Parts: sequence; C-alpha cells; structure tokens
Amino acid sequence: MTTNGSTPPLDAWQVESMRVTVFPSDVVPVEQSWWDDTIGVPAETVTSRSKAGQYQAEGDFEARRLRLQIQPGRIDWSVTPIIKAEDELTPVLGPLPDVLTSLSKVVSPWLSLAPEMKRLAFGATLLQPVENGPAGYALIQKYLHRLHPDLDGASDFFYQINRPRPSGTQVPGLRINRLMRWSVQVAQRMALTLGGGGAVTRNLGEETACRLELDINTAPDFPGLLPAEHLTVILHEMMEFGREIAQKGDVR
Amino acid sequence: MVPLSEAQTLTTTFARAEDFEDALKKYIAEAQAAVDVVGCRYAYHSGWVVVQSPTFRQTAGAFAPVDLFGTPIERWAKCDRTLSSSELPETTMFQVTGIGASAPPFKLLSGLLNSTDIGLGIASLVESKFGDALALAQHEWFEDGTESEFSRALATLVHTYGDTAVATVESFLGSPTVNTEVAVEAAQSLGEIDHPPTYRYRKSLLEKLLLTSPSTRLRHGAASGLAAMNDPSSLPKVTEATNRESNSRLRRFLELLVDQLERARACRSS
Repeated sequence: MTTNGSTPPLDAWQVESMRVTVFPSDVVPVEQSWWDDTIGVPAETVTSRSKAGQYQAEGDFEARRLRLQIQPGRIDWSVTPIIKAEDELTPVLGPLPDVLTSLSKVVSPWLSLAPEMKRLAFGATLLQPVENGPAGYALIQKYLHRLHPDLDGASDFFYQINRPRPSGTQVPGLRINRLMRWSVQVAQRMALTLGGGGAVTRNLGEETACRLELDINTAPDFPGLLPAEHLTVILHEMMEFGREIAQKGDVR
Repeated sequence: MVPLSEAQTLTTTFARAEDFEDALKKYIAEAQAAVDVVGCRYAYHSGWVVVQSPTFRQTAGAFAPVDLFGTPIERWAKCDRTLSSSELPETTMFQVTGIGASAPPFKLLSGLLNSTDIGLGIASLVESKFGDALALAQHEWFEDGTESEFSRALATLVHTYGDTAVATVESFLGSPTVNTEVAVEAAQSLGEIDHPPTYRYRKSLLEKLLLTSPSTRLRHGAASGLAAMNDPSSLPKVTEATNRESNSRLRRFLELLVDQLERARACRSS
C-alpha cells in the first residue's frame, strides 16, 4: 500500500461502521424482496412495520453484520461488527479497503433494483489506533495539512468540514459533498457482573484511536432525480473520495 | 418587492427563501440601473436583511462587505450588525420571517442539510420541531377552509427542510397513537403546500394513506389533499381507492375526486 508523505497507509484505518444511504423520491413500500434478490439467501431476522413504513433485515455477510433498513424518507444498507470476543476493546470490521469492497458487492447490484432517488450517500466511521491522546493529536495534524491548531495539553478537539466537489461523472450539475469530521476517541470497555451483592464493574482496559467520520453525499440542491444509469458510477466515485480523504486527509 | 422607506411599511410574503432572494436580486438590479453605481452590503440579524449603497454615504466599516449572493453560509453568517431605518432612511431593510405568522425567521442550515448522518443530520432536529407543532396542535380547533397554525407550521417545515419534513410526517401518520384530528389536518395540508421539490413524495404519501389507512377520516383527509393537488397522475390510485371504499359518503367524495381529476386530465391534454 502506498502512503502520502507521512500519513500511514490506507489499511491502517479500521472500519467501525459503514453505510450507503438512498433518499427515494416517493414513499417506498416495505414489502420488498431486495435482501433475497441481492444476497441470495434469506435474512436471519426481519422486522417489518408496514403501516409505519419501517422494515429491517439483518444477517451475517463475509463475517460482518449486514443490515437493510427502510424508514420513511431513506433506505440504508449498513455493516457493523459482530461482537463476540470478550477481549476486543473496540469491535471493528477490518481494514478500509476490504470493507469498501465488501459493501460494494452488496450495494452496486442492488442499485439496479433501487427506487428512483433524489440523493445518494456513502458514510463510514474509521478508527486508527494510537498509543495515547497526544499521539492521536499528533497523527491527526498530519491529515489536516494547512491547519495548525495548538493541541499541546488540549483535549476534546474535533474538526469538521465539507469540501464539496463537482462530480466527475456524466451527470451535469451534480455536486458531491465531502463531509469529514476528525477527532481522537478513548474507548473504555467495562464488564458488569450482576450478583447477590449487587452490580460489580470491572475495567477491561481502554484504547485510544484517531477517528474519522465520513459523510460523502450528493448535494441536496441537485434538481430532479439521480439518473439510474449513473448510480453505480456515482457510488464508486463517492467511495473513492472516501479513500482519498482517509489517505490524504483534508484536501480540496 | 417594494423597499421600505420613510414611514412606509409593506409586507410581502414569499413561499420560499429562493423567491425572496430572486426578488432581492431584481430590486438591486433596478437600483443599479437607476443610480449607475451601487455597491451592496447587507447583514442578517434578528430576522432583518439590510441592503445599502455606498452612494448613500454609509459610514465605512458599518458592515463587513460580503458577496451578496455567495453561498448561504457566507451570506447569512458573516455580518452581525444592523442599523435602524430611522437613522439611515436611505438604507433599505427587509424583514424576513417564516411563512407562518408565529414562525421564526428563516435559518439556512446548509451544514445540517448537507449531512446524511441520521444522528447528526436534520432528521432529529425536524422531529423535534414537528413535535413542538404537534404539541400546540393538540389545543387547536381545526375548521374547514381556515388555515390553521399547525398547517402553517407544517408548511414552514416543508419549505425549510424538504423531504426530511415529509418523512417526519410519514412517520407520524404511521404511528399507532396518532391523533386523528391532527393527522387529518396534516394530510390535507400536505396537498396544499406549494413546494415543488417535495411534490412527488407528498403525493405518493397521500396516495398510500388513501389506500392503506384504516381510518375513514384519515382517508378522507388524504383525498382532500389529493384534490388540492389536482394531479391526474393520481387517477389510478384514486380509482382503486374508490372501488374498494366501503364508506358510502367517502366513496361519493372519491367519485367526485375522480371526476375532478379526469376533467383536469382533459384540460391538460387539450
């Protein structure tokens, strides 16, 4: 894997969660066979409340938890970790390139079945473990380039920005929002034991990581519907923008 | 748009923030044509937009000069000072308020509108605002032919937040504990709001409601909303609803609606 200057390689980013979101132009009936048609096997759990316009299907896919969720106004395909090992501090899905490939396998073919839509979005939360808070801030500054905040002895720093770009696809006037939020998190894992003597908590340790939240989406002011024949290209462009930010940081 | 001057006060209502912006551009273009050189500065504060010209001898530095029609964030966020018209009668002031009389001034939340994160985005904000409107609606008496405070608040939400507001209404209408009176008012209002970007979503929501709601009154509210939209493309769904309607009075209403939509189709095709 190549690196950009002093930033770590792309696969240093571990994925905490990832989603693709569609904003349909009409009310979407929840009676859909999208899961079966896309995954090829029935979902493990299905929850449907048709009157409320809500539907959720879940199942394991490539050792990750895959979820299809329909709600009024939006449809989400998302992957989250399967939590099972007690010694894991922060459950993650794996390196960014692997998870991107995995989710793309599901969503790209589904886009040909998807309803007409006004917006499309790709979101992800990425973590990069570091030794401690100061090391996290030092690493984040490498991604922020022109920004030089004085973070010596500081805490609770986060940086959020949108760097919109015109889409490179053949869709005239389409603009892609590239929202990113950088911070450092400290995750703490506790064990809670309930017994006759009451609840006993035990600290299993803590883990510090740089955190990057990505929200790459087609701009809400795009007039009309996104052209169906370009949806896959738009999605891949947005995923590529995500890779670029994770690799190069806050670039225009 | 007519500028405020001297003691003159005029109120103009715009359906959308964009309409206000268009009117403002037109006014400034006319002013430029009239006095040859007009530099425009403005500020947005407490619901006031101020446009002024350096030919009016405004003290330098009273406002930070801003690109008038730049991005929304730049346009509204950079200035924080206003002047009263009595001190500077040459200054043109426009008061920007929401569509409802009691609604707050427009706030352009570009950042929130761009976010699609369900936690950080506008969905939870809209739900909160819609919840406030619902709470007030519990004490409101709805009358046919009279625009309610609730419907004005709903229109403001739709104009400001687009489909996210409609999605919130869809969730509300699907709730098992929905207040039928308010739901009927919401359905009717959805058909009456003049907001093209959300048109398809609102129409398909009313069609769904007409075909699936177990409440006769709510189906009637959806039919009223569709009647206000007067869109012949709803004919198949309205005809289907008419054929399956068991309530005779509502069926009669739906038959009238079918007639209305067929006439609208004939008018548009002629």
